[in-house]
Amino acid sequence: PCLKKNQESTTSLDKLELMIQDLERESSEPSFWEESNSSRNKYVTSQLSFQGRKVAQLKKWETLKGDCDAALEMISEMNGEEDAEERQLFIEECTHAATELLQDGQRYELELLLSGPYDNSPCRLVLTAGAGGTEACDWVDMLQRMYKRHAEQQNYKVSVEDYQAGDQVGYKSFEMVIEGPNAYGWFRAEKGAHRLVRLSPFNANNKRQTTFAGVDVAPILQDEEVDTVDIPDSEIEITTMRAGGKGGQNVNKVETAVRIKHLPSGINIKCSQERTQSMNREIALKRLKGQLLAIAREQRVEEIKAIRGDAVEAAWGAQIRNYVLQPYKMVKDQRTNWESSNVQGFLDGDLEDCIGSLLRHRAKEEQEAQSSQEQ
Amino acid sequence: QEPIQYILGKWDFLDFTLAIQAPLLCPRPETEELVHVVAKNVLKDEGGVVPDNHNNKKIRMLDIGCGTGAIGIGLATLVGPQAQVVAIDVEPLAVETSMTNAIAILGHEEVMIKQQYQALLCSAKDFTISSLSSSSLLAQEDDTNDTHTTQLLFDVVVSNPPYIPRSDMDTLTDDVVQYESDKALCGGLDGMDVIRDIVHKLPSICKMGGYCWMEVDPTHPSLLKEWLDRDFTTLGVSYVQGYQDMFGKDRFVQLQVL
Repeated sequence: PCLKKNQESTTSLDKLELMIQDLERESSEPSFWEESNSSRNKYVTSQLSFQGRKVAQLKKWETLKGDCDAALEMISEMNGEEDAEERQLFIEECTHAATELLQDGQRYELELLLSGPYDNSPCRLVLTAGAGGTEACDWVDMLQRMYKRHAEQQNYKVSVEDYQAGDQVGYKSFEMVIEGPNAYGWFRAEKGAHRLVRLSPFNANNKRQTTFAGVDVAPILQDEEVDTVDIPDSEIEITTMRAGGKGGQNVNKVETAVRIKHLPSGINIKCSQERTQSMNREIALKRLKGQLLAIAREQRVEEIKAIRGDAVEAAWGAQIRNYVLQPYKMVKDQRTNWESSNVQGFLDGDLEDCIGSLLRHRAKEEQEAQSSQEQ
Repeated sequence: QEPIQYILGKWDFLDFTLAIQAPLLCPRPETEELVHVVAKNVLKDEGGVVPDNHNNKKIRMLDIGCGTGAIGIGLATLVGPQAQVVAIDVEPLAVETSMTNAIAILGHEEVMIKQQYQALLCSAKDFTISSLSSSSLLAQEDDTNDTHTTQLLFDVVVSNPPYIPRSDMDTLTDDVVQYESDKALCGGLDGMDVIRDIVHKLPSICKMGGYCWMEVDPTHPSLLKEWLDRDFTTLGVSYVQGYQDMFGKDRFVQLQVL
């Protein structure tokens, strides 16, 4: 089925290449890089890279298919005993090419599923240690390593934004930004509580311990997208060190951190990374909007207004995946029942299969929800 | 206890850095909000910013009590090349510092040649348009020329005047009251002395329909509204609306010249 799909799209390879030529011509105009054209040139640049990738992928598949066909031909011509070794080589080559083609095809098919409104945005991953002290902090460390490795394997760009080190080991919290095509769409299913069961090296009696870490995923909105989301002032509460008392000229405290609470959903965002309060306020607001959009998506509601606050709390704490290291080894995703005994491989970054099955599962759910709504 | 702004000699405001020294008032975050509100309003009226080479129309803005120059410079950066700012203060150090900051932030040519920013030693009470025509590079032929004077009237007047009521001055912490100038903080008994001076001055320095925005003490918006609703015909100034700052305090007022 994958081969057939690929074949269908090769006829449009010419179309794509024409489109790319047009875009390249546009970008070679001297006025293209002027400030006034910045939103157009950003769009064109990202389109060029997006379509360019597609073309490269299609060409790669054509090559692989060609290799496969050629190898098959050679194999069918080699019937004699004396060619057995050579034949084996060709069989291997063919298998290798076909497998790569299949995997690529599956991945591409998956990306087609990632067509939600903000799926193509970069995403912010925030890991938080649950109760459990040192063990929980170590768990966060294991998770950040896992996500970092996985993201890099998938050719995403990872940057560490912030972290709070644990008292003895690991992290109380860890924040990273992942950039690349469909970053948010790919990682959004990681949101929830991840449960680790193992013999804790930090436990005095070396007993088996269960710890949790919370993973939060939200899209990072572009500046243009921020204005499309509107939150009434009455729904948010902004606090800083200056709150209380008269403020204004009366006070000269320079704490620039801003805390925004969204009253209907209970979400709290804190931002202290910038030099001034107004900058931090803008950033915190932008992040709040990103979070709300992510939740609206999860709850499958059209507007942020419709988000159910009680469901937010529940969703955040929802246990989504178990990682058991002792007495047996298993990673199991609660939502799809996907499981694997190769926990170490998983923790080393091998999430593709699991995430793939998740996204397909969700796409199916969303389709069913949509068709039942339409009825 | 010395404010960190004075120790460092500089502090951030919006997205630039201002040089600062005692006893000038250290810009507060509320003032950043004021600049955002005014800039947004100005740009809305002008239909968005137009590139400099297509439009010679200047937007004249007066910053009363400029201090480090925060408000005037902030507005110039947000509004763009059309902005033409005049700033006044009673403190010579403020005149000097705000000019230094303007040149550093807006550019030497913009300030000295294009006259985008000008600071004068003057109180709100004493300020007149004629004090401008004698120092302005605009046509010098006839100081009493009406058209000329009209050209110099301001589109927008902004101020963060000293507004703390006398009684509140005792509640201030040392880091404020020991270092920042009393003249920059205290607005008299009810805190409205300078504000009243500004209101009385508006019709003679501001275009008809022009707006005046001020950062004030939370007790002031209602007092101002009461006063102006009653006396707008004699004063020639009406109360448009009050705004709250991000902390929920009644912090900003918008007035209009009739």
